[in-house]
Amino acid sequence: MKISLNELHVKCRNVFRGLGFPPGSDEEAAYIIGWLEIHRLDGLKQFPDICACLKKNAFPSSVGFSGIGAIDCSQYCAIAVVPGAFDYLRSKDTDSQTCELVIDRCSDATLFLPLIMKYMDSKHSWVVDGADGQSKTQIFADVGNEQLYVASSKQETAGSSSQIRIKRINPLSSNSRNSSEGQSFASLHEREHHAIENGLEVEDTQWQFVLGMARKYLVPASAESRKKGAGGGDSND
Amino acid sequence: MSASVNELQSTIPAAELRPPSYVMRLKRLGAFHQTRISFVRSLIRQMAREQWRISTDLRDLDDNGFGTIVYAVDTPHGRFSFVAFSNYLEPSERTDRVIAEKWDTTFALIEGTPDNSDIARLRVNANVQEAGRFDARDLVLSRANKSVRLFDYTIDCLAKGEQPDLQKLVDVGYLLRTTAVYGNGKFGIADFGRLDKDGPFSQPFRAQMLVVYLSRHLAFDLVEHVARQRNPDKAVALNRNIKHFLGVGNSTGLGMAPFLMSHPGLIHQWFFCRETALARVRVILASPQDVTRFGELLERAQRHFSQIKTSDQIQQQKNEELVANIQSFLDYLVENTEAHEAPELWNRFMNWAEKNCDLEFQELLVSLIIELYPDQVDELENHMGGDDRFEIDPRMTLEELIQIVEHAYSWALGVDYTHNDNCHYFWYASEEKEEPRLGERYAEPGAELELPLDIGRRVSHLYDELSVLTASEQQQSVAEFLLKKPRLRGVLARVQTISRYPYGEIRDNTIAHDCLPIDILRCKLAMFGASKFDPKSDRWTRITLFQGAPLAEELDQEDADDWAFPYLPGGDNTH
Repeated sequence: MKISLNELHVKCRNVFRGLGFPPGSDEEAAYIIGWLEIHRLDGLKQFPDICACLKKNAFPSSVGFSGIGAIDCSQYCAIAVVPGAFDYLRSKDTDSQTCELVIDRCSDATLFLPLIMKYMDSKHSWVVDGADGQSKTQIFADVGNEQLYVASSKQETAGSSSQIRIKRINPLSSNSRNSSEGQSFASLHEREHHAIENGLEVEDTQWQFVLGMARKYLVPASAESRKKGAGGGDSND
Repeated sequence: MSASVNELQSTIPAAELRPPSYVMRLKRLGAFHQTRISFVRSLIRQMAREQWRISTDLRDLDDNGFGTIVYAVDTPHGRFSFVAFSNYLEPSERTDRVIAEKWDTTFALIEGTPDNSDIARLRVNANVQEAGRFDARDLVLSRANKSVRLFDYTIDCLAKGEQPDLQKLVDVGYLLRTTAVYGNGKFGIADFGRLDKDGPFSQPFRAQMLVVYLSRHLAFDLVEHVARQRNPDKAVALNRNIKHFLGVGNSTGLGMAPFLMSHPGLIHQWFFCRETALARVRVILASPQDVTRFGELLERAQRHFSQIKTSDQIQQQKNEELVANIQSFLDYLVENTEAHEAPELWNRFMNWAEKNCDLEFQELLVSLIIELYPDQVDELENHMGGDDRFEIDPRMTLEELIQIVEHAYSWALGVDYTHNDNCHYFWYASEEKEEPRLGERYAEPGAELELPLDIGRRVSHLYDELSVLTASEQQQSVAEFLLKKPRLRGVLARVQTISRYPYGEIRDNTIAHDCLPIDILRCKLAMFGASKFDPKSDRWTRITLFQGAPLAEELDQEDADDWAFPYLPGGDNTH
């Protein structure tokens, strides 16, 4: 079915709200899922896994470093940590240096992609490597060539733990990729523009799951609420 | 397009802006009136300027006025169509609440000209409103109910060849009353981003206001059609002066309040433009013609307010005091003609009113002085859009953050939130159509699902967390703090955002026992251009939009923009 981008964002935000995400984090998480969905990177598809993860790990009251420049995500649901981790990298003054953060026990590198594209400035490129025992994902947002590269591959390295390594790079690392392998930033914008102009086609069962979960932030109906909550009364005159 | 303080201030000489700490208080916001940059006014000017043409594309109604009407709206940007359905409604099913499921009329504004399949699709979906699905060609969805007091009565009169009684018209002020007007992506209709370009609806709520305006014509069409069918030989059209006086009713509940509190960037722009307009005009050297025109507007406003009838005792008293204040001021003007020529006339009037009159009159004065100077004011209508993103500045130090809180939220920091009265309410969204509601925290269930609209309390909590940090800890970045306190992300982003949008925050505790949500509704409705405030409780109000506005065929007339504070000649003796 077709939905508007406003619906996509609001319903996703309400899902996160219902899952216990605090204000601000619900918006960021919804932005991440929405961006991935617009760009056909399995946004809405992630909700069942996110819900399952949040049943085990509630939204964190604090995120600590497990080592220098490293966060251990074993106690957290990744999407709850990504915005804060990304802020941390953005806060570093890296005019002449590379800035790096490692997130252990987390492998979904694409979660960083929406925020990278949202906060991209003209001076920094970004590299994100994510891997677990079965697969490997590499993302390279090359600001010099205005190209985004996303590559995934299978790898069998049994026993190796999952990890994301995210780096902000300066100076630019141009010509490090064949531009034909990537997507131009312009084409990403074009896809977003197309979704605004025409609405976004989403998979019906995934959307129904979202709608069901989004209701969890609503207060159940009651006669008292109906009477008092919005002012009550009526006026047919 | 939004503009910064410096951009707007630098173009035209202006007085100091009234500060946000003065303007953004609930009591004052609850006394706002429409101005010439209110959305209904700017829409009419745009329609006149661009010579929009409205014509009837389809009128397929039965003798009772049930059926389909399509109006074509031709603009330099292309054609848009207003597709309306008029249905029979059991009186027992008529309700203004959002939770209603049937309406007398439903309608949508769409791009282009609808074909039969579009009309069939809209008939199915518009008639069920929130339960329907729409697409990106559909720009606005709305519905309206008939005024029980006036609609059938007006038909009866017209069918007999008579005009309706003026007193009844004054009492009501509309034939149809909208109960919701949806835009921006709701139920699959076009996202605002789709409109937010060089098209006719680039400013906030402009497409919605067009729909309300067209529903006024729908009302006239329906009553005249049914009257003609009932008595073809004798029926008459509704008198043009009466048409001018009739607007479109609207019932507004709490839904507007969360909107206002959730869009500080946008709201800042509205109030900033209003204050900029005032700052520009209050330093203008008034000419004798300006003073004469001002006196005329005052008299018009006095008659307008004297004709408003409301069952709400508080509002009725405010209106009566306002009328009395206007009279005092008119007397002062007559008795002190020498004062008219002194410099800074408007400034002195404003200062005098602030010392001697209540808020309703003070804010009316703002509207009337602004009304005098279109050349200095009207361009501000193009700056009503705002950036609504809350974004974290991760590099800001906590010391800087504390300074912002202390500067922008001093109103919130002095409140004792452990006291029940200061946390009396909680805002929530109901399972019933997600209707925003207000609950009593200590008496009703649902507070655990509270919407984050307890702004003052949240900022105060943030401040408590920041205040215990040592001086060296306050040199940490916001990003480092948020890793330790991720639950404060939303309020922190809000504080940082408000530092850019000082008029974006209501500076009162919106969960306190003495908070009156009606004040929040009033200020937003005034920005829309509402008149005839008729509160039905402290949580919802009826208003009228486009009362006094020119009809579609009158947009090219010279005085098409001069319709603020309308009154019905001959209607004064009714109260």
